[in-house]
Amino acid sequence: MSTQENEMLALFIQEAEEHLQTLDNDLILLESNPHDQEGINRVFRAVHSIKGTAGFFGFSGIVELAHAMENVMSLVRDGEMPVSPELINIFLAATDKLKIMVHDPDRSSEVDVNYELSSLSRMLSQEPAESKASPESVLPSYLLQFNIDPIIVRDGLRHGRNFFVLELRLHADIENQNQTILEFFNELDSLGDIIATSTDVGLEACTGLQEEIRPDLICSVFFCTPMEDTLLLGAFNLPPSTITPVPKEPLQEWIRTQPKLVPSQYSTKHQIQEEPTPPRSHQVHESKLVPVTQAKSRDDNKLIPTTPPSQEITPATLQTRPHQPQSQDKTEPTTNIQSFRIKTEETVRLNVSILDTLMNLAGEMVVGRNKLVRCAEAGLGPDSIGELQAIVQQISTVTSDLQRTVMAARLQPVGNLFGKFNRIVRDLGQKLHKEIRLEILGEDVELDRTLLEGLSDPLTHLVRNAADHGLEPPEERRAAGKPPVGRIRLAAAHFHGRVQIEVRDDGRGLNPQKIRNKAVERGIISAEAAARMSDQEACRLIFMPGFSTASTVTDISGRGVGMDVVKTNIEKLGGTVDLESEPGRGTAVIIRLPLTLAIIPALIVSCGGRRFAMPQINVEEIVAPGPDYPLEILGGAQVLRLRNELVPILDLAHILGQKRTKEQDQAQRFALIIGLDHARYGLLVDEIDNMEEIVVKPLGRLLKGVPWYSGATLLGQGDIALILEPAALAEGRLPQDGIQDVEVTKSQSSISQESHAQRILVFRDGTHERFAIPLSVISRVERVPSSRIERIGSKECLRQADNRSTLQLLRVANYIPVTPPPDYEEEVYVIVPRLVHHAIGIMASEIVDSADIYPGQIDSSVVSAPGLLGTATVLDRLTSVIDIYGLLEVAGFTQQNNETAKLANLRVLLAEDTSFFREAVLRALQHVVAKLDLANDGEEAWKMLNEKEYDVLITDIEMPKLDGFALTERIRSSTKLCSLPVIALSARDSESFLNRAKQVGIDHYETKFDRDRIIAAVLKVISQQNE
Amino acid sequence: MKSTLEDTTLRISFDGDLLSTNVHDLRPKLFQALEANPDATTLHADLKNCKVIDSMGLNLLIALYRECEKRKISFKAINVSPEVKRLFGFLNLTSRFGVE
Repeated sequence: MSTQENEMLALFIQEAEEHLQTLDNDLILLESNPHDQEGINRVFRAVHSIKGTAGFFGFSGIVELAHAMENVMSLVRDGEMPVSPELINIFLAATDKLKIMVHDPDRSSEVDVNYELSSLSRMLSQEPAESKASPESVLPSYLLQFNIDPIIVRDGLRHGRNFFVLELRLHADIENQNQTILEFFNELDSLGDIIATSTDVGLEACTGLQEEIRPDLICSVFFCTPMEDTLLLGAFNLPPSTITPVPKEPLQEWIRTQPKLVPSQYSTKHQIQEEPTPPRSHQVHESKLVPVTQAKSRDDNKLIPTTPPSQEITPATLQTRPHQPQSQDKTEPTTNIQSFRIKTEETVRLNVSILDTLMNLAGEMVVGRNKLVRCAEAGLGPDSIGELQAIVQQISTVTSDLQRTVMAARLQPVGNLFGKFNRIVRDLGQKLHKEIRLEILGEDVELDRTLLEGLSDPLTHLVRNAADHGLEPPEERRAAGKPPVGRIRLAAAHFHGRVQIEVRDDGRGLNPQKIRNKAVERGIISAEAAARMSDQEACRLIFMPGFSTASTVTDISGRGVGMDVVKTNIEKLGGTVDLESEPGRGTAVIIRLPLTLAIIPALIVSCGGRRFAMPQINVEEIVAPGPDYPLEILGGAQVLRLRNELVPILDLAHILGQKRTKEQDQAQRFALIIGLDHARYGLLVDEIDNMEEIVVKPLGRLLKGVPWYSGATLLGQGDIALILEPAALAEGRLPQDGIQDVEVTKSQSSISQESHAQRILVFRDGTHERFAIPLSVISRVERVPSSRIERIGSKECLRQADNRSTLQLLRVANYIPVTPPPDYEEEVYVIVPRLVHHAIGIMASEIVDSADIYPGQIDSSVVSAPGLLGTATVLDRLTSVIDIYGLLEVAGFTQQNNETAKLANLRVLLAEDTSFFREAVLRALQHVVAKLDLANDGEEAWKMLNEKEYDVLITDIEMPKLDGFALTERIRSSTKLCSLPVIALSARDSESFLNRAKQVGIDHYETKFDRDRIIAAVLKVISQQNE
Repeated sequence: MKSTLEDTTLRISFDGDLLSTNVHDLRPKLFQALEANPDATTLHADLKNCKVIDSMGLNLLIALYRECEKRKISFKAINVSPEVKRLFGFLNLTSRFGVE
């Protein structure tokens, strides 16, 4: 074959593949809108074009199949054959075969198309109008003017909507109400579904231009809506004569006579109904419904890429099971398919104007080069430097323009990729017997074509997962009070300079407890780590290698190797993956990608004498550790104190296993503060060189397996630098829960050493005011999207991930005198207290830090109110210390459970000289016990014990006048009080103190301010006494 | 309004919106344009400058369409703005007017 013939053949393949991709999407759209004449025309044209060009090359197999399809579509186009589900299935199967044949046209005649040809032939031989007339006869005559979409009618009937025919005089009924016709229809469309319209084009009344223009125009609208007729008329101020209610019985009868409505009515019909757009039976929908690939191909100003076709087409599987849609097949892609893909990746169509721009820029580069050559030939003279600078400036400008233009040429709309999911979701719906609706949003968002190609497989996996595991079968959805049609949303949007792709389903969601159990069972994490994880963190475990929660592995997804591969592939593209899931409400996988991979801004750093490039997008700031930003060790981990935060530190030299000299270690180093989606850390390097736009080159074979490099680049000076992969560097090296864990670790370890201090959690709630709650009374802190907060009346609630319990949320400002916060941003923290009978959480906009607070530090004179212990200077700021139990009391919650109920009749004396602890214990216990008296020292306590009756004494040890030991000694030697249970509350926990306590007869020795332990101690001592 | 004939395609370009205020002037002009080009087999109504069409404007287009039908001329509205396309869609006129 000559070069020219080869080029022609390549062009044929490319065009035919585009037609076939379009055909896929158009058939899916036709399935849900069988009367779309333009859709029918497009299918006809696509098949006709393939037949024509294949005939030019003599590919008789392709011609024969396309010709048979064309014959059938010709009947459909002429209205002699309806678009039935059977027709769509046959056409999709035939399209799959054409794809295989077009891929390898020389062997196209070897592909078995007998099933498709015989099916098409059978369709042709059917009596065309056999079943057409009768179904319509059940409809009222006034509906016969409409081209009715049965799916909309069926859905309307299912939802119990009312059906009307409106007969509108466009001028008298609409324009006279000071409304344009378009405004009227837009509003009407927002109140229900416009099933069909019929405008009187005046077959009798208007014969042409010789007559006067008619003063009005009548349009009949078949409409269904949840509204009653009176409301509808009132909404538009229409006269009653314009409306005719349509009884539902004939519609139900008519629906029964329609060809079987296919289960997967996932089509864009519903999404369009939800939007204020015209009904799909109208031509205006065409612009919305046309698959992106096709829409773009009609737009001369847009790039026209070649979209990779569906992946799993194999001649073998299609020959044995010709009627099965292609994407259902188990068979993995074969070599053929790989080469098929490669072929489509080899070419990309460009707008001619981009080529013209590139040509112009190339011309300017040549001019610049010529100037340089001339300059070099002339030799260096006194004016050379100035001249050289001008040339360099020109070349620099041209290079930048060139870079911009080439980068723009590489960008393609994500719709090119999303388009293929119409077919995949349709086939999945049929295979899984689920009704699935695919929503595509943001198809115009552009991404580098390399990224788009790399995104194809992960997205396919995610969509399949959503369809297979995420969405419930229709009956399960109905039982859960959900619409039977499951929804998968593919959305793209720009997000902080990156592109965010979201695959969201409204299915059953993930079960975090099941995931925790599985992770522990498989040894992925320890039971303790699992227990510490929030539900969202537990859900993210599915990205761990080999993790699968699917109890049954299906051929569609759930092989247990998927999600980690998705994550790895996305990270290879420089992206991140996140996951949101809510049991019963669905799951969203969120992918964030850079716009391009080819040229990125990067920070060039040195470590151990080697140079590395860190993508600038991940670098939040650069810090030189020293007195202002000290490096500390907390919980065995190195952290950087950065303003009011502790940032975990990783040492690049350590990760890379570099040998260090003493000089290197002693020199001033730098910490790059790296921001990832779910982690933030500092990366220690030796030197910061400069910022450069680097050209990303793939790694060579030897380095390909090293996870912490994403590529290599050639620097301006000719050096090679490896590009660091920040997510991989952090992998497994950061605390599970980030910095908060480090803090908690410290708080836990320091309690025994510094038990005189209380560890508190400092937080803000939307304003600059800071609050603190002792960590000992906090059960957990959750970070949740504010969208999850639901309102019930005036209350704000957070449904727990198990969907069984609900936390009632409190805002501090509602109960104590502080500045009310503005609305929360995207995320909110929920602080869940311990030992609280009611399921409640306290909302916070930001967790600032944790710190120690000492007795006497809290001043109750500045602000005094129920729910507040007082104020204290914490982390250099005045902080309101919250009395959590007091706050709950103010909020109307009483603190009682079964255990504490045993204390309800108890009379307790508290001997405590420190106001902080006295107040705290008082507030913790006063609603639990019947009576709680206070003594400021041992002497006072002794006096009170002799005057009144008490069931328990709780005493401090170190008190003025009479300490706790001496007080207990007196009690034990008193005939009247010797059996009184005594609990000591003290910060002193040395062995000598504990021994002394035993000696004097103290029943229980307890560290201060741990409410549940105090209550447990009281319960213990009274039960001991009862025994 | 401007009309030009290329081969057998008569292109009629409207200067602006089609409203009750101008349709009466346009009707005879449209008729004359068709009369003057008896060889036209296709008529392209160029709506590039037309953003709003009221009921009278719609009636004018329908009259033009009916006139074309009578003369066996294929009718097609071209350069249709999204708003007008949406209006045609609501009224089920898109395919009748050959809008793509």
